[in-house]
Amino acid sequence: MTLLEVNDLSIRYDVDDQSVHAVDGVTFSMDRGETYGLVGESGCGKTTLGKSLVHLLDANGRIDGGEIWLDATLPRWENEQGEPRREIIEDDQYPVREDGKTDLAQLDNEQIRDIRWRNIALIPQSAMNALNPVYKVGDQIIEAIRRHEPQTSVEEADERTRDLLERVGIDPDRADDYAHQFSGGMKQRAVIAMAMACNPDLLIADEPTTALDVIIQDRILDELEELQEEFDVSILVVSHDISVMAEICDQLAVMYGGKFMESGPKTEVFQQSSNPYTLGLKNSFPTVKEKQTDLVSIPGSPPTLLDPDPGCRFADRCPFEIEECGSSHPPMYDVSSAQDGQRVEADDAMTHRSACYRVDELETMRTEATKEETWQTTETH
Amino acid sequence: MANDGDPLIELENVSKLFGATQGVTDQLLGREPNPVRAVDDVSLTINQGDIMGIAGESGCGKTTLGKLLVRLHEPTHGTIKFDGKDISDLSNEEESEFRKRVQMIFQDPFESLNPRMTVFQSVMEPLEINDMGDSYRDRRERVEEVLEDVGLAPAEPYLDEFPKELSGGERQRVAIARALIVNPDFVVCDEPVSMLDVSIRAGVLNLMKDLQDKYGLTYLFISHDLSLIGYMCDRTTIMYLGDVVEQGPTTDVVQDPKHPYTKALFDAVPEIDPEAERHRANVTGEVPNPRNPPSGCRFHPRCSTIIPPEDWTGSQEAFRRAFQFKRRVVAGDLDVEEALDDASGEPVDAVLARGLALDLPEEHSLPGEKSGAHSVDPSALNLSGDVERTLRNAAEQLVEGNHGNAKTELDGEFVSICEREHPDIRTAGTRETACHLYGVEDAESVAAPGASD
Repeated sequence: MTLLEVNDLSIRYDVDDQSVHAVDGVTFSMDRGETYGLVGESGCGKTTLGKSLVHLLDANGRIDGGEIWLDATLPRWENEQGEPRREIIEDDQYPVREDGKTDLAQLDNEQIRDIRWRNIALIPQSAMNALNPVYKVGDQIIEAIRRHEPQTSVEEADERTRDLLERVGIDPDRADDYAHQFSGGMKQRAVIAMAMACNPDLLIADEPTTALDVIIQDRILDELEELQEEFDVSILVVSHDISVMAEICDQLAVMYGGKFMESGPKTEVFQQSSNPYTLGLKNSFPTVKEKQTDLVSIPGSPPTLLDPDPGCRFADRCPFEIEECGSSHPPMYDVSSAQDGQRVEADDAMTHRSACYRVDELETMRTEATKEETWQTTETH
Repeated sequence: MANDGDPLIELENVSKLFGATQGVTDQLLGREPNPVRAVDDVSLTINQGDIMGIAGESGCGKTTLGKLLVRLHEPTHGTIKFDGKDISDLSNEEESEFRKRVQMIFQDPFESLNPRMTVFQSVMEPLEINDMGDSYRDRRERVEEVLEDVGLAPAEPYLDEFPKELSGGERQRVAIARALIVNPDFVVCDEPVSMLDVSIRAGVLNLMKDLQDKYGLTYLFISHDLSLIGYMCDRTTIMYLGDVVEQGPTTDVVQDPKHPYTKALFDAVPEIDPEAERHRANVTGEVPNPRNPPSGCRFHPRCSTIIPPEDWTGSQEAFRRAFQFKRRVVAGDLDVEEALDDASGEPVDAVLARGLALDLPEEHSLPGEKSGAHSVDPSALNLSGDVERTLRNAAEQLVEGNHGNAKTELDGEFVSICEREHPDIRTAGTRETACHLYGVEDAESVAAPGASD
């Protein structure tokens, strides 16, 4: 069942009198219990997109348009069964739909606080610095539980905290320690425990393992998978590391310059990549066990998103650029029809989609993209 | 391309200790200094024209080793020879020659370039310092030539730019140009691409390979990313807590790691092919504090193939767990109260069940052992009568709160060679490894006990 539906979401950062188009017209949806990955290079808008779901943007950032439908609603709009009340759905001033979903984009700062942690929890980037150094780790988790479930007593919250810590592999007694007494891996585990404190429906994990050593990373990924199985939570993972994504995601979206370039089920995106950017990215990524071919980099560097040109964001670096690419950024085309040579816009956000005007010439692109000389022609200053 | 050139760098028993001097407080309190052994008794040879990779987790001493080689640190013990000469014993002239022949590329090009100097000034600075080039014109030509070599062509428009006007990839190219302008023989690259985006990374790596041919360079390539090491290096050295644990041709180290730590490290790397079957690393715990490293083999408290003593009758898995039980009791890590709270049966059984459990990925756990549950059924281990009795006695003492007696009970039991003796480097097949699993003379004859996969 669909948990989250994001429609045509755009996010802007205002800089002087210009604006940075950090996320531009993104559409996707996530099922319950699913892991969805946002992968891309730095500055492609993946973290912005993740944080915007719970309104955690910087002061100059704003949602410029679009909808974020989450299958949950505020406690004050619920009836006893946890469903939104009839009069709330029917009243137009509340952003609640017939199917019980709430549009997070329309909530104000006060309202979104009831969604944070209770429905959507965030594991922030560099969890190493996410814990408050002057409070005991356990107390920080208790605080979160009590804020979002005020009826819980301190003792109950304390017990739950210790259970949570034990669940992620930390000795419950360590709840009385401070963050500096934890190792890097333990801090990461504590932050995961904290995010799980109120049993959310959706966990946003922003680069969950980036600062960790490879063996600890392996354990944390294992831990996330187990938690997901146990609590049936959906996870939105944001990472630049393609191999981590390949490991944990069910669905995957490749972002570039604030746009989705390609998205769909993991195996399809990896094995039948259908976008020049994804193809280029795959060429430039070394693997440890397979026979190594020469790495090929994508020429040029990522675009600035300050009032960008209307054309395809990747056009400057793309070896397959045609005239049409300069007109407007391509919509997401359906890949399976494209394989039959038809260029049709995808109507289902879950299928394999690719934003490229030449998606109907897939075979040619895939063959050409494996050749090194293809990528050398567009080298510029 | 692995080639057998002449040795360019030779390290003999090199150690670097930090905090080895006694501070004022230590003197007043009569405390002995307790240094961090960042690099401990490392012997290593790097041949002319090789790319030597150094890999390991953070804190294993790989960056310190790199800095020792360019003399940003002085070794506490041991000698480092560059081209046959001991580098801590150079005359002034020899030293300035050495500084020209050895260069370093740092991790973060956003920090390593002076923001107030233009590209031209940054790249020319080493020429001025080393008094190279005859005239301004000569130097300028040389700068342009090197910039074009590192892919910033045409060089002209880059000369007067400041670092903030360049992208990450361009900055790192400037940093490489700066290292190469004095025409060095040996370059230490400390995580040269870890700050760069994936699509840019490959370009810089390929550039480094091309330049190696063109300038006849020898590299030391430090990285925590094993896939990069695999792509770049002819030979690989794996470090753990200041020790070299394995060293050899990269393909062999990657395909068939000998040391249990190397194996764990490669197992832990995620695979990009979504259909690839992958084993998770079979290790417990985290890297210990380098101020107080474990005795014997540094890796033994985490190792899955710890060697049982000769008179051990049970399985290796059973020994590993009995050993961990003892280690936890000695360190006071075993949470007896928690074990008693959770369990319903006999207190002794509960303590035993908790003490023998290991926090491992699912595929390496015993049947019925769940990660996070901290409990295992001791009967699954088939412990021999003696062993079970010892463990039970210790558990009994713990239940009664006699922690000291429990320790005495276990004293002298479950002793492994891995804990007693620090393994020296020995040859195993095509490479050298520091692990007791491999006999000093006959490398292949001793198989890992119980290591079925």
